[in-house]
Amino acid sequence: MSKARGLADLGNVYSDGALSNRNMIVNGGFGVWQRAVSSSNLGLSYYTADRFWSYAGGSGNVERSTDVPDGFIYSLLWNRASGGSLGTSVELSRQGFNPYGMLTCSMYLKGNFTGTALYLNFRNYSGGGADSVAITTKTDFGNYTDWTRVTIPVDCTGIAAHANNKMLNIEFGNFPVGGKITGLQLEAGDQSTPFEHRSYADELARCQRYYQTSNGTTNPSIIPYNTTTGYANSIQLPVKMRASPTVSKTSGRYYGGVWYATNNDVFGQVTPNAFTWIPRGSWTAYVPRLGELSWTADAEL
Amino acid sequence: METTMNITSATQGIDPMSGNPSSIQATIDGQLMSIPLDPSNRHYAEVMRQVEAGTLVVLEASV
Repeated sequence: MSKARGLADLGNVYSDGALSNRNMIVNGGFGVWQRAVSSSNLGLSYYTADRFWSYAGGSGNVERSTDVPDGFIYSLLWNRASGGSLGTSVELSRQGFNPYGMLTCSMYLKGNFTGTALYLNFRNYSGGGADSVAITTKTDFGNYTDWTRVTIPVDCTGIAAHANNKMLNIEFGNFPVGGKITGLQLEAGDQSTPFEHRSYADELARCQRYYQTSNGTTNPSIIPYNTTTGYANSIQLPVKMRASPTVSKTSGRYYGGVWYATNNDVFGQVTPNAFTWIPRGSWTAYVPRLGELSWTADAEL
Repeated sequence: METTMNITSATQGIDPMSGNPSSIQATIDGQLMSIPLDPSNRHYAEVMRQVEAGTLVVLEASV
């Protein structure tokens, strides 16, 4: 490509959107894996790479791979006995761009994707209803024996904004056995630009808007409210989450000479910024205890 | 994605200090979760969808 052509393309890209913060996909480089780096779970949910859900039959794992194109660290490998669905979503309300124009989706693929379909559609929140607007379906993927960059124009012009359009859903149907993906990018405009690499700290913070984990334990103090119920210090979330999260206890206990497990705990004052652990045990009222809690907080779309 | 959460139990979570519901304690896909009362939360939205469909009942807390 000549320098003049490169400058012309750069100008075109500049006209279409900012040169930084181009990629609307969070964790498109598959660098953040807060939940696990491998999972054999079959259900339709989030198990491995942040912001990516999977659904599969058969046995095997969806896992992290170090087989990557130049410039990347990780890819996602569908190491299962049969194909399945892989997807992510773009939250529309906070992106600061107009999604109802030309978009360009690009990705690096390796494996036999001849039976794979890619669907893009505007959707309500996952629990709230059916597809509102289908945009693009691509079914002419190839058999990529080496890493190949695939670019897909996504024409959203003329689509009327709708109250149901809370997110832009991106879904691979029949993601193939042995298939690998990384460098997934969705950007404004009709030009595909090089993948926008972000620092791990930046990408992790973006992921934590949707999911966080204690990644070990936190140790809040517990102030007993009565002999069976206590309040722990509020646990502040390092990144404000998209919505008040669903909080799950991985493990919880308190120290009273020895460690005792807590049971039937609830969480209160849950906000996008913090939550309070309300553990249940058996203790002398008003004698503070050292608590220990492992937790996850989920505010995925 | 079109969600298919398997919710096997749902009970009000009560804040003992205020006595008010603060969450829904639900077992979803085999995992116990504390769901905030926030319509933007996907688990809460799915609980409400199943309640409206008549396929799920959120039990009152026995506190």
